[in-house]
Amino acid sequence: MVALEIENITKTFVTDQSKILVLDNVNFTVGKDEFLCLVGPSGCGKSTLLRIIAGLEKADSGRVLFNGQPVTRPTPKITMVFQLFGLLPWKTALENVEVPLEVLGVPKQNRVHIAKEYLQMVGLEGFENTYPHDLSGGMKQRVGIARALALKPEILLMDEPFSSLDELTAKTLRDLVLNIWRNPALPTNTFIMVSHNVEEAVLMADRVVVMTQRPGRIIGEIEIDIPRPRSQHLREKQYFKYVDEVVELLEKGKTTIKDESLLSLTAKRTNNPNT
Amino acid sequence: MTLFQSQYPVISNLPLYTFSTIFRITITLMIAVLWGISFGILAATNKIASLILTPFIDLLQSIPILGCFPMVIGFLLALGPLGIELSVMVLLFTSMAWAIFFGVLGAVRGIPTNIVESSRSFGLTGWRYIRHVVLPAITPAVVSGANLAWCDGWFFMIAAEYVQYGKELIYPPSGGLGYLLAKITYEYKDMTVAIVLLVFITFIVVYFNTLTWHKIMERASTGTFKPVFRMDLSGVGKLGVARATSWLHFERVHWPKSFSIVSQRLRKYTYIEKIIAVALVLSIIFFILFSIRDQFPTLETIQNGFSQPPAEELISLPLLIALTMGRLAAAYGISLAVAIVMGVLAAEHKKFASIFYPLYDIGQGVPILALFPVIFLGLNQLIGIPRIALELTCIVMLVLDMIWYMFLNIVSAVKNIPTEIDEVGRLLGFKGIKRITHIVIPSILPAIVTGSILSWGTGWNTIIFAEYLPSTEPTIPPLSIPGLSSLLDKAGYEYGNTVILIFMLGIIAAIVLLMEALVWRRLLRKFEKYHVEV
Repeated sequence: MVALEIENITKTFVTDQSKILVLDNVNFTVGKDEFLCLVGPSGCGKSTLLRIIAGLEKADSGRVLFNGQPVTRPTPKITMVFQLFGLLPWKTALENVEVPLEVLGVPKQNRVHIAKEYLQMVGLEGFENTYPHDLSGGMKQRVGIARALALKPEILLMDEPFSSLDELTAKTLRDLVLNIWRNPALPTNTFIMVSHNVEEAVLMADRVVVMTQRPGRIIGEIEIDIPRPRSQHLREKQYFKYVDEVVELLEKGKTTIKDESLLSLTAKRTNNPNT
Repeated sequence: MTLFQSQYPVISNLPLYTFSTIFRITITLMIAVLWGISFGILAATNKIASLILTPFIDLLQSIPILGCFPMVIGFLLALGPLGIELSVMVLLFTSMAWAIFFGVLGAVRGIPTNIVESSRSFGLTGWRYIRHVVLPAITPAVVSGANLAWCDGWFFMIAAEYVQYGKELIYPPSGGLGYLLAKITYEYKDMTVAIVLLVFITFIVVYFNTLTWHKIMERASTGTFKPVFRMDLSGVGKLGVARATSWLHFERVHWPKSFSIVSQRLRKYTYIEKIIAVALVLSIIFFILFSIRDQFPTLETIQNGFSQPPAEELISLPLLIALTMGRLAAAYGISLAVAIVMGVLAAEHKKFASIFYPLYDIGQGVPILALFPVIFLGLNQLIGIPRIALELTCIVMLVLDMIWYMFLNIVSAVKNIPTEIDEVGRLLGFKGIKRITHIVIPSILPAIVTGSILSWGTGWNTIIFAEYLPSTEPTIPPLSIPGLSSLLDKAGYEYGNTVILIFMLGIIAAIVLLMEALVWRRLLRKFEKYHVEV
């Protein structure tokens, strides 16, 4: 079953002097209960794509269909975990999880209950009344995850959720996220994660979608067929085979650009015989 | 006290005057805070509002406010005693509102993208967004802005409570500390009582600064959300200096005049913004001319204005400009030299710091304008020639006013010289004077420029007051030394010549803006490169 359809998304950023094409005709679908990972070099527009899916940005053309309905603005059915956490510094961990529930109109007692429950789930019991400033990076991201899940969304978007954490913390949180994804008791089972870490993508995703350097295009998709839990298979050949495949696609994405710019150069030359 | 009372009956009103001054400042501050928050948020979130408001308010604040005072009084005098109270509050408001406005503007714009995005993605929009995100985010800026406004309020209050307008002495019916001080110095000419009163005023200001404001700021800054304060202050200015200053921690928290104002003002405007600003200023000038139209017919007004006294003095305008600029420059030079010595010593040696920091505390707390009559009286007794005494008083006041901006900027900059730079200097063998000239001074140049801009800004306000000493008896003409601002004061207070008053204001504003464009902006750009990113 398809949860999300991304159709012909194109996006251009206009700066003072120039227009930059960031996303060029991007198409893919995300299945229900799938863990999809978007991989690409930095600046390829993968974060922009995620923001378009979240309804935070508008695409110039194309559309995002969620259960057949176009997404035009943020909805509680699609929530997001941010690279820099996006916590409100003036609210405690508990209040940070509560705020989106308040927006939905959940009564006070209920939302405290829910927020506590989710903080407990991400392992933050006892830190409810701590302010973000006094939490470590990993703990902040745990709050971010609890906040996103507390709304019981159908789709969870993650924008490089582990890249501002140290490797050890990142490893623990990857396991946490995978456990949440596999937990049938939770309604959130479709995950889309943006990453530039190939090993992380192969470890976590059902399918890795690889993007080219700017302008971002889909250059290929790789189904990762390693049995879960994958941490047991990290030393096996097939794992490295998948990593190599993704890296190869990424390399190809780079060279494509070079070839194209060379092509356009030669095209100009042929158009202009004097030079 | 009883001794004083028998000599000066007015002293018995001290409690009432103290209360009325504090009350006046507090009420105006509350209005200014409400205005600043609402318009700051509006300008930061609405593009059209920002296009109109920002350049307009920016221009408004580059005109020395004290110069507008005679005009405000002229307009509101018709309302009687209430009008005087009102005009004092209007003047106060105009001195307070800008710092808060620009603080709020900077803070709202400085909310990090990840917070803006996460709030939007979780549905925080409209009023909810303001309540949960914007208001907490701007709290530190509002508090520090309000503190600046409070200090500015005292500065202007002293000037506003005792004004000679035409042949009349004007003061608010409920009196005030500024009125009392002026009365004692000008009418009774008693230095001792004046100094006692001055100490009393300084005590009140320092008391509120170190206790009340310190507490409010601590509550807003520490404990719960420390990082916001940093984020907010460093997010505002593009200048490294502003960032450096935000890291400065004395024993007590100090919030110098808003640095954001400087960087905001020096920000380059877009073409459209410039056009809108020019259009707005023109329409305001038109409006002012239009509203005084009843007093005089239009074209004739201008001709009339330029043919009435003190128009004859306009011939020597270049000389007047040179004199006023000369005074400012002399005071600036002195402040710069002293502040560099004091600043470097205070930043490098704890011993000096323990002397200079309290000095700074008090120096900042003294309402400079209140010192004016006292210094003059002292110097006059010493020298005996009123004009020379006034000349000296003017420069002393300017120095006392300018020096603290320079000092604070220099201390913070020296303290924030990156360790790497310092270590490189030591490895290369720079010591003593060589270290100062090769390492310290170049590293603090950006801070010196920022301090200079602030110093000149406040200097212009002070000099409008300091070239002109109102007299108490109608028969004795006020004492003045030739200069731009004494002419402005004469036109405003003595002759009620609005045309020349506006003309002089225009000239001063033009000089301020020219200096900004030709001197400060260039220097800032040049020295910005000196800032080492840490």
